[in-house]
Amino acid sequence: MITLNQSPPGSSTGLHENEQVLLTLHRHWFIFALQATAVLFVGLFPFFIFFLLPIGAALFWFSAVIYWLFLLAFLLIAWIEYWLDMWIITNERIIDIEQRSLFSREVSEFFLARVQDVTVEVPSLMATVLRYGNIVVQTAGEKSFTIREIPHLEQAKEIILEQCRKINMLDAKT
Amino acid sequence: MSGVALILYILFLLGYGAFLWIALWHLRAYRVAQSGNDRVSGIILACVGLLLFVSLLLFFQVPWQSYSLFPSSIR
Repeated sequence: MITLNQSPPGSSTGLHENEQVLLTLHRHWFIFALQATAVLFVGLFPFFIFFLLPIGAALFWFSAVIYWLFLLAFLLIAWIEYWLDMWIITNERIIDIEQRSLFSREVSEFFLARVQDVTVEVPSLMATVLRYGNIVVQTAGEKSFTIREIPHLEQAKEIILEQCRKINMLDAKT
Repeated sequence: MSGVALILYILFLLGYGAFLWIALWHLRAYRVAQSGNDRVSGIILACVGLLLFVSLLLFFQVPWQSYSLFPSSIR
């Protein structure tokens, strides 16, 4: 069980009485690792330039350090976007917190009672090897939710379907 | 040139510091789940701190007096 240190920001009510968080999901670490690797490669440019062009050493390395500081700022933003982008599955609903950029975010939530269909997609070879993929949740409304590039696909799907089954059984009894 | 460089460098440090403050505030304000993965932001911040320190050292190594904002023909 995962405990929340605060109510999901942007969700209208926070956690309800008797509501328990069953699973919190972030994107697979590989997604952030790709960005970090790209930053690392771009960060190597000053070394190539230094060996190709005769530039004054101190000024060159000072400029390179400023350049690396900008790259680290970009990496920090990428990490914040990765880390704050998450899905919370509780025993009542799914909360989708989508961090689009540093200051842009969208929080959606829907009740498991409205879930009609759950589909698991594994879109690529890398996703197959590293075992991540998408879960598409079709609700009774027109909107379908896609939980993208997450690990533990089968576990998440099982939890969602199990909770839906429990909710439907309770509804049938009452 | 050294005076201009110093002013530009201080402006850069102030801007970068403001960015870090906003980014960290954002990370703490909107973090939902307790997790040990704060290590990653810690590592990034440690690298930032190290590079800021190195940039400070290098700034005073650069012979700013020998550089000019404008070519001598314009002056």
